[in-house]
Amino acid sequence: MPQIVLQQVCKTFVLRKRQKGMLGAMRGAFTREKELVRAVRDVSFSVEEGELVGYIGPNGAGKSTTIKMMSGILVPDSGEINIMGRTPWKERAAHVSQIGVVFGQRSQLWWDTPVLDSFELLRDIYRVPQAAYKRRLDDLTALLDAGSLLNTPVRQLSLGQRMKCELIGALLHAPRILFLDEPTIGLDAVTKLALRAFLADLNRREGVTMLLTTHDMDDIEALCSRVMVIGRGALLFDGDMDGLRARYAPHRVIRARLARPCESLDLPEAESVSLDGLNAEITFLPARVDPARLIARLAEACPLADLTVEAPDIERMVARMYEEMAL
Amino acid sequence: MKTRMKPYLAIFRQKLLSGLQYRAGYWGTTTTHVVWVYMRVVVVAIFYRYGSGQAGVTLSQAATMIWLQEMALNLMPGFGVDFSVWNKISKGDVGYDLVRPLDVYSHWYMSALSDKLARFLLAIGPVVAFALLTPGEIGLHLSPSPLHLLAGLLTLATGLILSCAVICLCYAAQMDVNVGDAPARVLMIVSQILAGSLLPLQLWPDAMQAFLRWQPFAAMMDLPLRFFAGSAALEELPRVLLSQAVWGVLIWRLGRAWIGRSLRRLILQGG
Repeated sequence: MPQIVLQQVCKTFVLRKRQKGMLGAMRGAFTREKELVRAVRDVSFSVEEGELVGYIGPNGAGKSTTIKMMSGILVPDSGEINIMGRTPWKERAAHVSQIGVVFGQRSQLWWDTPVLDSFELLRDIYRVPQAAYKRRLDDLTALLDAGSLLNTPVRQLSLGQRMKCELIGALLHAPRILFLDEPTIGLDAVTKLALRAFLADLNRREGVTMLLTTHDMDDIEALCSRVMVIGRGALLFDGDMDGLRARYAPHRVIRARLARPCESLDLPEAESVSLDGLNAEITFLPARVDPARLIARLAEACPLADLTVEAPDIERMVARMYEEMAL
Repeated sequence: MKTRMKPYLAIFRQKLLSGLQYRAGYWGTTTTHVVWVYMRVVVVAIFYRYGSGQAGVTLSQAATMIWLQEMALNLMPGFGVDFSVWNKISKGDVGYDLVRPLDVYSHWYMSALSDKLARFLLAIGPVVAFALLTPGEIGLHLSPSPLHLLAGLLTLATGLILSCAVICLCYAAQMDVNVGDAPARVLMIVSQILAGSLLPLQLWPDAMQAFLRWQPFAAMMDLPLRFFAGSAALEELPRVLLSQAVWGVLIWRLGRAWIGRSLRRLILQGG
């Protein structure tokens, strides 16, 4: 049985609209317009134990809301959520002792005191025995190279250092599932790479199921075997990265540098051909044309100095996808 | 029992540690307590010397009350407000509190209790020292009997239970998006005044005494301190405990139900 099951989950927020300015504020004291925002509508999916799932979508698409419902913080209006046999918001305490949560834009550490104090507090809140805690902490700090941070007050940590500590804090009680809401937001490249390596390693060694939201497509490419895309509250895609590309960016681009100028290129199989001096750009659909044959035909037509075949830039693909959703 | 209490003891320890993090902050708070208490004692002494009315208590009892109040102030909902939960609620960090395997009301209640106790313990030493060093009528006078002292300690402790229930009621009000934080702030100020922390309640007009005695805030500080100061008879003890119990249960249940209701309809937006 899957570890996480969502069935037709819906969540609607009521926004009270107010008008701007003094008059609007005074009017607002008597009448208010309500607006219903359907943050999540009819979302269904299931996740097996040990899966590493990326959950992407534009700002305000409902990613965080879904994560919060799975964490037991928010109660859906309708639909079922079953995680490890429990309904999160009904058996909240039992549920949350089995999961770890990292909200990238929030902090669970105590601002004024050294990191270690926060960890010991979490140890006691989750009732982790001292020996297990010690082992776990040593492991995690070694993996994240965070040993030198433990005695520093949280307020003196850089964002990257703090995020490492947030992760350790979320993992001290050895959760079976880890929800990560934008864990790499605002981090530099080195820290991002370190965090990704750490998450991948944890997933491999302990089989921890992970569900992460992010706006950094490199996170998804580096980590996730599966991607879910949500837009305006509805699940639009659920599959692997190749499937996502096949659906939203099926094209490949051949960039060729010609050895000598060429009058024109006649490649009827290609979707488009553009020629600019010695540079040629040929777009084609791998599903329809065999790339090897296309390249061979190109080389026949014109001697080549250099050649690359590229998949479309994933950031652009996602941007296009999000634009489509907004229509 | 020990393992059940462990998370809460850890929260208490953390609050104590946080209070000790900033040396300047600690000494600043302590100095303010001492300066403030002298100002209040002197003002009351001037009224006793030059005023024409009759008070139900002597100057040394009133001064003792003020010294005791300064020590107990930190146990009150409206003094030294712990904004950490308020800030979490308004900024959305409350999400982290909700993913802990603890009952939310108990968590916040114990964190309020820890905060109050930590502030109390951190401030009391210097104030007691100055109180004992101050000579004459305006100094601290010891309780008339060990039983008065015990009655005072007991009711102060039980009053703290009530006080933390009021703090949680404020959290509940703040969590309700239809209410916002203004009512909680007003409640804190009202609780300060009605607990007698501006003026001991026995110095208020006689016509108000019956009301003042039975309202919940008196039972948090003013009534317990009367035992210490010897301005209340020991026979009053059951009445004070009854008032604390009735109000305590009422406010506790109200806060609990309110927070429970808010959690079911909670909205956490952004990030």
